[in-house]
Amino acid sequence: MLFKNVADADKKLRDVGYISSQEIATVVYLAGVTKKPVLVEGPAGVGKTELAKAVAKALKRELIRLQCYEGLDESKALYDWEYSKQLLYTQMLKEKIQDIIADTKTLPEAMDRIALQENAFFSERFVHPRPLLQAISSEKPVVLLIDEIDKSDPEFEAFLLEILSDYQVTIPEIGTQSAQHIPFVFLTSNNFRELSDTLKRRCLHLHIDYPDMNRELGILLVKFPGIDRVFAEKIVEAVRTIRDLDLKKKPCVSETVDWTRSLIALQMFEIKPEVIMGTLNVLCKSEADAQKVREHYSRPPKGGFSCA
Amino acid sequence: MIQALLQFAALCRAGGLRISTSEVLDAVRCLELIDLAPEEPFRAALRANFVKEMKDEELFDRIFDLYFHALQIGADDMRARALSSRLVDLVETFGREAQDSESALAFFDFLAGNRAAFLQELQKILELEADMPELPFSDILSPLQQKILRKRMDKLLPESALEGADIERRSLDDLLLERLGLAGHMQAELPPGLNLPGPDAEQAPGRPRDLGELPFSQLSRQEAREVHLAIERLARQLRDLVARQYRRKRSGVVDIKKTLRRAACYQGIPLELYFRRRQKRKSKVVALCDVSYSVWTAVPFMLNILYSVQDCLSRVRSFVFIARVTDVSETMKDHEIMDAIDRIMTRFKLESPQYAVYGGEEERDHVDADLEISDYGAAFSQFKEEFISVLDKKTTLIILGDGRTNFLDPGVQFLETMRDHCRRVIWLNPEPERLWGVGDSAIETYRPFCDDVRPCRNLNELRAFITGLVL
Repeated sequence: MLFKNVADADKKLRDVGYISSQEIATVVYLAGVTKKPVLVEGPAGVGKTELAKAVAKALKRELIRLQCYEGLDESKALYDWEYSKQLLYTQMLKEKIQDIIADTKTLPEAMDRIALQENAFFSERFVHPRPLLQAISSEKPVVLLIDEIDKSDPEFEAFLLEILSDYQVTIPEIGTQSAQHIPFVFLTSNNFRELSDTLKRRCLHLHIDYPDMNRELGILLVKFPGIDRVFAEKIVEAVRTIRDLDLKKKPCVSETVDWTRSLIALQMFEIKPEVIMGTLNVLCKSEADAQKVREHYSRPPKGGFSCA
Repeated sequence: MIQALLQFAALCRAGGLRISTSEVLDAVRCLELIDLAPEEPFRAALRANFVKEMKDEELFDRIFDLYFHALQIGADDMRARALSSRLVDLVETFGREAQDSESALAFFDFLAGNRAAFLQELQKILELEADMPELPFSDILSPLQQKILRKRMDKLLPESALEGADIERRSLDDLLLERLGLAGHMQAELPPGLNLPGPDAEQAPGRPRDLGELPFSQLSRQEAREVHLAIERLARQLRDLVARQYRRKRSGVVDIKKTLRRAACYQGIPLELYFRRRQKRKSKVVALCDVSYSVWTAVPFMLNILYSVQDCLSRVRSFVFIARVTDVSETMKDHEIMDAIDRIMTRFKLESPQYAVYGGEEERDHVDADLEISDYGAAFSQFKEEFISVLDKKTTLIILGDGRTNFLDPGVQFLETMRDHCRRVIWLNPEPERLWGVGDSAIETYRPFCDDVRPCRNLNELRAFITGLVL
C-alpha cells in the first residue's frame, strides 16, 4: 500500500498523529512512488525520526531501525555469520554424518556424499540478519530507518550506497539475495559531518526546519486532544520567542510537547514569565541557555515578553 | 515543460548549485507524478531533487522565485496578447537599430514576451561572468533603457495620432515599463546569488586574492571571516582524517585474552583474532601567544584552529602575553571558540579599526597612552615561575610571536628551562622571513632553543603546520 497522492499522504500522516507540511507530504509521496530513499536533515528534535515512524504507521508497515554510530560495521548492520551455531550443529550431527558416509568405500566417494549435503551446512539458518538484511529479505514491504547516518564512518556510507542502489546483498556462504520489496528508506542526518555527494544524489532531500506557528499549534492540538486552543497558542508563541533568542540549543518540537505536558501536569494554565522561569529546565538543556532566557524575561516587559 | 525545467536547471547551475543530469531526470519523473496546479508540491518536488544541502536552500528559493514568478509573464497577460502585434512591430523597429548587439536583441525579445531567449542570454552572461567579472552587461542596460524610453515616446506619438487610440498607447507604455523594470530587477537580483560562498569558494576562479597566501595582517574583515570558515572546514577534514587513521592503526598486537575468550565459541580454535587497540599518541599542546600590537592579528586564527581540532589533541592550554602572561584556557573552555577569542581580544583592547571581525563593529580607541610593549624575557620568566607545571614530556609548546624584544633582555635561559620541561618547542613567526633578525628581533637568539622555527604568516602556512601537528 502506498500513498495515492500528496493530499492522501498528508491525510494519512495526520491520521497517525503526524502533522506534516506541504513539502513533507510531497516528498514522502514522491519517495514512495519513485522508490528513492529520503535524506532528512534538520535541527535535532524537529521530528525526523518521528516522520519515519509515522510513515510506517500510516502505511501499516513494519519499521526497521538502524542506529548509526562510529565503528558500526557490516556484521552489525547487515548480517552476522554464526560460526558457533554452525559448529555446534556439526558436532551434534556427527553421528548422522557417519551414517551418511557409512556405506561409502573410498574417500572421494564420501566427499561427494557430503558435498550433496552442503546446503545444510551453509544455509540461512546460520545467518543472523541485522537491520539491513532484514529490510531486504522481508516478506512484506517495510520502512527502513537509517538514523543519524552522519555519525557513521565514511566507509560505512560507501557500503550503504551499494545497498541502496540495487537493494541486493551478497553473502559469500549462501549467495546473492535481492529485495522482494524495495523498502521505504529514510536516512536522517544532523550534519555532524558532510555526507558524500554520491549518497546525496541518490536521495530525495528533505529539510525539516522548526515548524511554523500553525504547524506547531497543530502538533500540540493533536498530541493533547483536550487542550484549550488559546492556551496552546500562548505556549507556541512563548516557545517561538525563546527560539528567537541566540541560544546554543534551541527548544524544538519535542521540547514544546514536553513543556506542554509538564504545564498540564503542574496545572499551570497561564503563561507568565514566572511560570516560564520555573519550568525552564524542560525547554533549555544547558545552563548558559537558561541564563539567557532568564535575562530576556527579567528585562522590562515592554521589550520582552508580550502576552498579546 | 521539459524545456522550462532544463532552463531552470541551467539557471540553478549558473547560480552555483551543483545539479547532475540524473537529478534533472529524477525531477522530471517526480513532476510527472504530482498535480502541478498548486505551487507548493511543485516547488517541493524540485527542491527535493535539486537541493541536497541546507545551505543551498535559500539560493534555490531565490532562483525559483526569479524564474517562476518574476519572469512569469506573457501567457496569462491579456494586455500583452491584445497588444502583441503592436509590440512586435515596435521591437522589430528597435531590433533593426541594434543589430550589432546580440544581448540587446534578446533583450528586445524579452520585451516582446519571449522569456526564453532572454534567459538564455542571461545564462550565457552568467557563465561568462565566472571568468570575467567585469562584463559590462549592466552598463548596456541603462543606456539601452534610456534610449528605448526616449525612442518609444517619439515613435508612439505619431502612431497614436494616426489611430487615435489613446488608451492603447497608455497600456502599451505601462507594459513596456513593467517589463523593463523586471529586467532591471533581474539584473540586480542574480549576481549576489553568484557571490554566495560555494563549497569550495576558496578555489573558485576569478577570485581577486588568494586567501591562502595573504598575510593575516592584511586581511579585510570579510576575508578574515572567510579564513575562519576555511579553518572550520580544515578542522573538520582533520578530524575525519584522524578518526580514519585511528581505525586503521588499531590492528596492533594480538589481544590474547579477548581472542581466547572468543575462541571458546569455536571449541578453543582461535578463529577470530582480536587486536589490542593501539592508542595513537595524541599530543598535549600549550600555546603561548604574543598579543602585542605588532603580531596579534595571527593569534585569533591560531586559537581558532587549535581549539577546533581540540578533539585530535589530548589537551590544549593557551596563554597570551605582552609583558605579563595570562592564562586564557578557562575563557576558551567556557565559551564558544569565536566568542572566547572575542573576549580575549577585548581584554587586550585589540581591535584595529578595519579589523573588527569579532563582536561589535564599533571602533575603539586603541591608542592607549601607556600601551604595554612586549617583553619576551619578562614573559618567559613569569611563565617559568608560575606555569612551568603545565609542561611535561608529552607537551608541545607552541610560541607564536615575532621575537621582537624591544631591545630588552630576551631571557633565553628561561626558554631553555621551558624547553627542558617539554617534548618540543615550536616557534611560529608571523613575520616575513626576511625580517627575522633585523632590528630588535631576537628570533635568531631563540632559535637554538627551539626544535623548529617556522613562518606562520598566512592560512597555507598555518594549515601545513596544524596538519603536521595533528597527524
